[in-house]
Amino acid sequence: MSDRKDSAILSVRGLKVHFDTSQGVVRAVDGVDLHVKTGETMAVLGESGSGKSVMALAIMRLVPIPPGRIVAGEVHFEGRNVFQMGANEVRRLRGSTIAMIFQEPMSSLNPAFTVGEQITEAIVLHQGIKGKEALDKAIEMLKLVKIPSPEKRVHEYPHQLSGGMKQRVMIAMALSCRPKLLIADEPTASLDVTIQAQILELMKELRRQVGTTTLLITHSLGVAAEMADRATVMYAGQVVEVAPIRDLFHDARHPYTKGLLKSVVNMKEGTRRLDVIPGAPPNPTRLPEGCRFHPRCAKADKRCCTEEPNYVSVGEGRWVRCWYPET
Amino acid sequence: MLRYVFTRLIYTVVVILGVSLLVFVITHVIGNPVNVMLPLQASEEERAQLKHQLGLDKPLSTQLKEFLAGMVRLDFGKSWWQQEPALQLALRRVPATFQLVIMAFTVAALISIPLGIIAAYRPGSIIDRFLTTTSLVGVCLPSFWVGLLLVITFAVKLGWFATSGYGTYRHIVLPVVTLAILPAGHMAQIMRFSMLDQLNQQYVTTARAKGLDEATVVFKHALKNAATAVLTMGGMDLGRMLAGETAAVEMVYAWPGFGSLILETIARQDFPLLQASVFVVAVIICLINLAVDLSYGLFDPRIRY
Ligand SMILES: Nc1ncnc2c1ncn2[C@@H]1O[C@H](COP(=O)(O)OP(=O)(O)OP(=O)(O)O)[C@@H](O)[C@H]1O
Ligand SMILES: [Mg+2]
Repeated sequence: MSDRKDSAILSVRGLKVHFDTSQGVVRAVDGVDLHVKTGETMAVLGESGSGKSVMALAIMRLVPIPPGRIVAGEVHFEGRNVFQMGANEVRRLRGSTIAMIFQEPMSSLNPAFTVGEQITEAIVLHQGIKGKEALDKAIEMLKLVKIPSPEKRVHEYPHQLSGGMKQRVMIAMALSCRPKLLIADEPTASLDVTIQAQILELMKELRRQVGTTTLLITHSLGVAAEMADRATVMYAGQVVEVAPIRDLFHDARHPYTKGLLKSVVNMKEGTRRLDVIPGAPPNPTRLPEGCRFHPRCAKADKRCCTEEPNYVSVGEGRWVRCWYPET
Repeated sequence: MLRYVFTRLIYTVVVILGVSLLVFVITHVIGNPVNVMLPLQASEEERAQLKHQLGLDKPLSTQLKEFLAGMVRLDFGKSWWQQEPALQLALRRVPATFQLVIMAFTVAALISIPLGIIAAYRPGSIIDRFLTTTSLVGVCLPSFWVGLLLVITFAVKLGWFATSGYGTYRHIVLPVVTLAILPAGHMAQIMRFSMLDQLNQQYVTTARAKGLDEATVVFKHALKNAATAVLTMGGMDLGRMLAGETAAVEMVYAWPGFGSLILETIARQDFPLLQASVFVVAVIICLINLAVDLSYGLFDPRIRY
C-alpha cells in the first residue's frame, strides 16, 4: 500500500484509535492506511459504525481523549507527522490548511453566535484580517456558497436558517481560509434529496474554482460515483479495498464491496436490500478472529476464520484486504 | 420588549397583591396581637380597649378595605411597637440585608462558577470529584447550624471574628460565609452539569476544528450556552436568600437586616410592620426575577420578548 507516497498530501499509516467504554474497548479504527493525492477527491465508503468519522477526527487530532486513545499509527500531512506536532502547530493547521465539514449541520453551528461571528472567527485567526474587512470576507464566502441576501444572513443566528442553509454556512466556513485539504464527513447525509443534490453540485463547482483536495466520507455509493476520483472502502475499523472509482464500480474485488454494489442495484430495481449482505456489522468491542468480514462472507473458508488477511495489490493503484482477491 | 416588561409588571402587581392578602388573612385569622402586647394579668377592659385602639374590633371586611386603601398609597400604618411608619422601618433594614446578600452571592459565584467549569472540563478528575462531593454537602447543610458551628469555632474559640453585630469586617465575614454555602453548592452543580453538556455538543468540535484555542472554545463558545442555566439557578438562589436564608443567618449573627426584622415582627405580631416588610421582600424578589428573565436574551438569541 505504499505506491507513490511522495505525491500524497495526506498519508495515514497503520492508524488505530480505540475508545474505553463501559462495554469494553471499542476498536473504532483498527489499522487504517489511506493516501490522498494532491488535488484529488478520495471517497471513504462504509456502513454506519465502520470508523469513518473517528478516522477523520484523528487526522485533525480531534478525537476526544479520554475516552479515546491513539493506539498506533501516524498521520502525515505534506510530509509532516501531525501526531508529533505541538498543540500550537496543530491549531495553526486546523481551519487554515485542513478544514472539516461535519455530519450534522443542525448541531455543528453554535446557537449563541451569528453566522458572521462564526465565519469571521477563523478568518481573523488565520488571516489576520479584522472587523469590517473580515465581515466582508464572510459575506463573500456566503455568496460563494449561494446563500441568498448574504448581507442580511450574515447577521442571523443558526436557528433562523434551514438545514441546507446551515450546511452551506459550514462549507463557507470551511473554505474561508482556502484549505489545502477539505474533510467532508457525510456533508449531505441528513439533508433531503433535492438539497443534497444542490450541495453536491455546489461542492463540485467549488472544487473546480478553489481546487481543494477533498476527503469525502459517505455511505452512499451514488455520492462517491458522482464526486470522487478514488475510493477507500472501510469495514469494522479497517480498510478493505482501495480503487479508482470506475474500477470499483466495474470490478470490485472484496466481497463486502461487491455486496454494497449489489445492494444499490437492488434498491434501484425496487427489491429489498437487506438480503444482499446477510448479517450485521460486528460488535466493535468483540470483533471476530481472522478476516473481520468472514461471518457475513459467502466465500469464507477455514483460513478466513483464523488468519487475518493483509493488503494485496490487484492492479495499478488497487489494493484489497482479502485471502481470495482474484475471485 | 417594552410590552413584555409592561405585562410582567402587571403580573408583579398581582403577585404582590396576592401575597399581601395571604399575609393579611393568616395574621388576622390566627394571630392574636393583644395577648402578645399586654401582660398576662391584664383585665378584659384593657384588652378590649387595646383592640379598639388597634382597630381590630372592626369587622374583618372593613379592616381589609382600610388595609387595601392604605397599600395603594404605600401606607401600611404605623408600627404598633415602634410608633413610626411601618414602610420606613422596613426600608431602613434593606441596606444591611443587601450588603450581606450581595457579598455572599458574589463570593459564591466567584468560587463556584470557575470550579464548575474546571470540573466539567475534566470530568472524573480529582477536582471534579472533590467539587461534586463538597457541593452536595454544601447544599444539604442547614445554614443556621453551619452558622452556629462557625461562631463557636472562629469567634468563640479562636476569637478571629465577632460573634454577632454589625459594622466592621469582624462582623461580616462569618455571616457572608454562612449565607454563601448554599448558593455556591447549587451554582457549582448546575455550572458543572450544563458545561459538561455543552462541551459534548458538536459545535465545540467545530470550534476546535477552526483552530481556536481551548480557552476560546470553553469560555466563549461553551460558556455562553451554559450561562442561561446558571443564571436561572442564580436568580432562584438570590430570591431564596432574600426570602428565607437571610432570616436564619441574620438571627444567628444578630444582623440588622429585614430577615431578622420579619422574624421579630412575627413574634411580636406587629401586623403593619409585618405587612410592610413582606411587601418590600416581595417587590425585590419580583424585580430580581424580571431582571433574570430579561437577561436570558443576552445569552440565547432564540429568546425574544
Ligand atoms: N466518543 C466515543 N466514545 C465511544 N465510542 C465512540 C466514540 N466515538 C465513536 N465511537 C465508536 O466508534 C465506532 C465508529 O464510529 P464512527 O462515528 O467513526 O462511525 P462512522 O463510520 O462515522 O458511522 P456513521 O456512518 O454512522 O457516521 C462506533 O462503534 C462508535 O460507537
Ligand atoms: Mg460518521
